This record gives sequence, structure tokens and C-alpha cells, in this order.
Amino acid sequence: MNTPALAVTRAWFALVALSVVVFALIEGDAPARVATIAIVLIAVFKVRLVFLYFMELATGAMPWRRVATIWMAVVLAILIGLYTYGAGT
Amino acid sequence: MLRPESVTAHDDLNRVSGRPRLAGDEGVWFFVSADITLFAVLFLLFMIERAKAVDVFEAGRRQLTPELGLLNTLILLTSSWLVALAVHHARDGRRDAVTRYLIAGMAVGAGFAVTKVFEYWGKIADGITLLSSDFFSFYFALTGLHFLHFLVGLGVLAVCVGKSRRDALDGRFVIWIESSGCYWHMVDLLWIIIFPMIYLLRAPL
Repeated sequence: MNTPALAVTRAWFALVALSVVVFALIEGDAPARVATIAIVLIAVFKVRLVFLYFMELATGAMPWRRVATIWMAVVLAILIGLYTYGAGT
Repeated sequence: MLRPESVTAHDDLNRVSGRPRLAGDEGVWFFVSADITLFAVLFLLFMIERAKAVDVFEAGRRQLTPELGLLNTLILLTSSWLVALAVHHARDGRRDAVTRYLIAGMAVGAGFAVTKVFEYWGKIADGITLLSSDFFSFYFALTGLHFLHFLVGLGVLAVCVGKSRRDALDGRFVIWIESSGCYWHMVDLLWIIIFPMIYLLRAPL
């Protein structure tokens, strides 16, 4: 397997492993807030892996890499911000 | 003189080497950016409504089966991986491998439709519809819109399979399969957010 294909396969392993970790967090005894924020952070990190290795933005193709970064930051802020706000009301 | 397909593909792509190369057509990236922005707005609306009625959304969420959502995550991740490998084989001019990986990606991806139909069927059988609550309005609208994107993606991959069998595996074909792959990966990454947002955001007790 050549290097770029190997990077894709490594990313896939990481994505599957993180999905299993998320499931452990659902089933585990961690407090809801901690588990939920961890799940959201993992989800956004997984999206980053898809952008970088499946969609190949790891090569640094600007401005699309910047668009992806901004999108991830906005989605993270929406999910964490409004989850925290909702949990406090 | 005929050149091996792999040489043709590399020659065409090397014309734009020397700077970071975007995988796929730039127009597709504009579309992907617009589409994920639309979904970000839908995520915002969902989270605003959830913050206003945490109890309703928590009650709805508890009626879902997260195991099915996780299964669909694994299905889409694996399908995306197979399609990404098909793209790499296209660059190397390996026609058989491109077709094989695309078909495998579609076959695995089709599992998403099976799970989703099973899930929708179960909800409707339980009397749960779009009108049952604000949560289920969002559930059906968001997952339904994503499902439409998924179906379009399957169609695009089917076209790629056809092209991989009859077209020259030149630079043009590589751009085509890269663009199709980008769309398919977008379907995957949207689900990576939709799944935890709808199924897993647990309200504190």
C-alpha cells in the first residue's frame, strides 16, 4: 500500500476507534455534561480527520482548508455553547 | 503511441503540481461549502429549539436507538474509506481496483439505507411522525435531508462505476472521481455531527 493510501487507512482506523470510544461514553457512568462535551469534541475531531485525509485537505489546499477550519469552529461553538446554555436553564 | 493509463493520469495531474493540489473540481468544493453551511444553520436551529425545550428534546432522544446511529456511522466511515482508496487507485491507473473499490464502497454504503428504513419504519409503526413533537420534526427533517444527500451520493458513485469501466483513466477521470469522492465524504462528515447531536446530547439529570 503506498503512503497516501496508508494515511487514508490509518485515518479510517482512528475514526472507527473514536466511534467506539463515543459508544463507551454513552454507556459509561460519566456525568452527562462531561460525557456530552467529550462526545462533541470527538465528533468535531473526526470531521477534521475526514477533511484532512479522506477529502485530502492535509496537502494544504487553501482557501478550502481554512473554510473547513472555520466550519468546524462554528459547529463546535453551536453545539457546546447551546448545549451548555440549555443545560443551565 | 498509446501510453499506459497511469502515465496519462499522472502527466495530466502533474501540470498543476508545485503547489498544494485540491482533490476534485473547485466547483464541487463551492457546492460542498454551501451545503455544509446550510447544514450548520440547521444545526443552529436544532440547538436553539433544544435549549428552549430541553425536556421535550430529551424525551424524544430517549425514544431513539443509538446503536443504529453508531452502526450507520461505521457503515459510512467504511464506505468513505473504500471510495478514498478507489481515488488513489484511479491515480495509479488501476482500472480493476477502481471499479472494485467503488462497488465495495457502494455495497457497504447501501447498508445505511437498510438501517435508516428499518429505523423510520419502527418509528412510524410506534405512531411517531414528523408531527409528534418539535424533536421529531427536526429528527425526520434533518435525517431525511441527509438521507436525500446519501441517495444522490449513491447515484454519483454508480455513474463513477460506469465511467471507470469504459472511460480512459486520465487526469479528467481522476478529477471526476475525486469530486464524487468529496461529495460522498461530505455525506459522511455531516452524519458524524448529526448522529451525536440528535442521538447523544444527554440532558443533565
